[in-house]
Amino acid sequence: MRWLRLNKTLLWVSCLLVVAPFFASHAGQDSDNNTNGGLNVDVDLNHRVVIPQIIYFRLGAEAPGDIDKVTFNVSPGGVGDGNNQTYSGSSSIPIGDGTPVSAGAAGTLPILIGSNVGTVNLSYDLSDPLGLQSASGNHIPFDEITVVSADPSEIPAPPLANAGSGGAISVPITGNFFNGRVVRRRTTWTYTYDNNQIVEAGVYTGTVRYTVSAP
Amino acid sequence: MKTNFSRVTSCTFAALLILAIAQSATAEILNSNTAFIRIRLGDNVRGSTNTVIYNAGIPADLGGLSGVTAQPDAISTNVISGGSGVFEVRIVTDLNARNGVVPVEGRFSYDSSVPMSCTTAATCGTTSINFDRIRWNVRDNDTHTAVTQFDGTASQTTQIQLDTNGATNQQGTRHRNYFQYIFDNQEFLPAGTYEGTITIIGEGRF
Repeated sequence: MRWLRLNKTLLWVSCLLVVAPFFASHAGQDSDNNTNGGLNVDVDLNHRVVIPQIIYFRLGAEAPGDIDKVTFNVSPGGVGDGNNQTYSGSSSIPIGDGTPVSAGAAGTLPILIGSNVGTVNLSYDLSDPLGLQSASGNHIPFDEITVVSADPSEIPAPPLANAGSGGAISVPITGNFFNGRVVRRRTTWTYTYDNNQIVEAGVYTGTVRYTVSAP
Repeated sequence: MKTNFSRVTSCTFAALLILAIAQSATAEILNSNTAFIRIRLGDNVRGSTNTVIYNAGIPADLGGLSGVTAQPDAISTNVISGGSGVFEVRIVTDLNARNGVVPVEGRFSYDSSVPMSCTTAATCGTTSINFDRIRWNVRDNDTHTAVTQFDGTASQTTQIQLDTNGATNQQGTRHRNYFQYIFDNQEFLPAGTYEGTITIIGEGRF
């Protein structure tokens, strides 16, 4: 009798286990029994796509890690060639006379910015807060270098200025796809030396590091 | 001791009997005199819906950037019980005609008409992804092989099968296949999580 009671109990449990799923909602399984009409079943399968946050930024050279060097040679008209030069009358020594000097190399650089996290900020910091420095410790302020964007609506160029001089050092780059949630912009920047100051002869170097970041 | 052993043996036998009853449920249905259609998907648990997850990498359209290695295929990463190896999702379809009655034709289709929607509004807002960006590989070529990619419509026929056996000898027809789903990671999309549901629909017609 004990065995029979146990067996009955187990049979009831097993019946419930077999039957219960047919009263549950349809998800991973569905079945339809019908002897008269049509048969209909449906099951669902969820899909989840996770898109990571991505920012890309390129200025100048394509290869990651490469740093472009913009070079200005302020030595027109034979200045610096070791020979005596004569300037008279209305002619002026073309150093510090305000005549802009185009870069001899890498003066125009491609710039690409992309983001899928909406608006990003473009900023920069300087290798020396006083400007480009010569071996003897003299400086040319960074605001002597002008940066012009070929298409400011794509990527404006923040004007360079020595740290603490109040220049704008950060500009927002807004999204142009998916209602502003994706940024895909590109243009070129051209660097020019303004040549407004008479400075001691020498080679002045400095580095501007640009950063793109999500707020 | 002998009595106790006998009880243990009896209990074990009872347990095996129950298992046999439970196991026989599927086979019994397949031999049923009642016409039926059935779909079993993934872990085959009623009340739970399996989720296929894709962790996308760098999309293909950024592959032109120097130094950027694009990952144009985002293969689903989760393993759903019922799958096998890399083929994570199992789909089984059963079809049975009523004994002595006309054969039954089963038509199976996908409804992928509702795109995956953004669930992280802060980053992707109302952006959605159509299901036609998901394709798949199959292992056994046994069912749902008419198409290899969702088409984003409400009725995409994937399988038509006819059960004549059930009309004569109560033997239903079962098909099974294993799927590996792939998200076509082509476009630079807003970051975030997108979720959606496709439905496999089965209809039996006499």
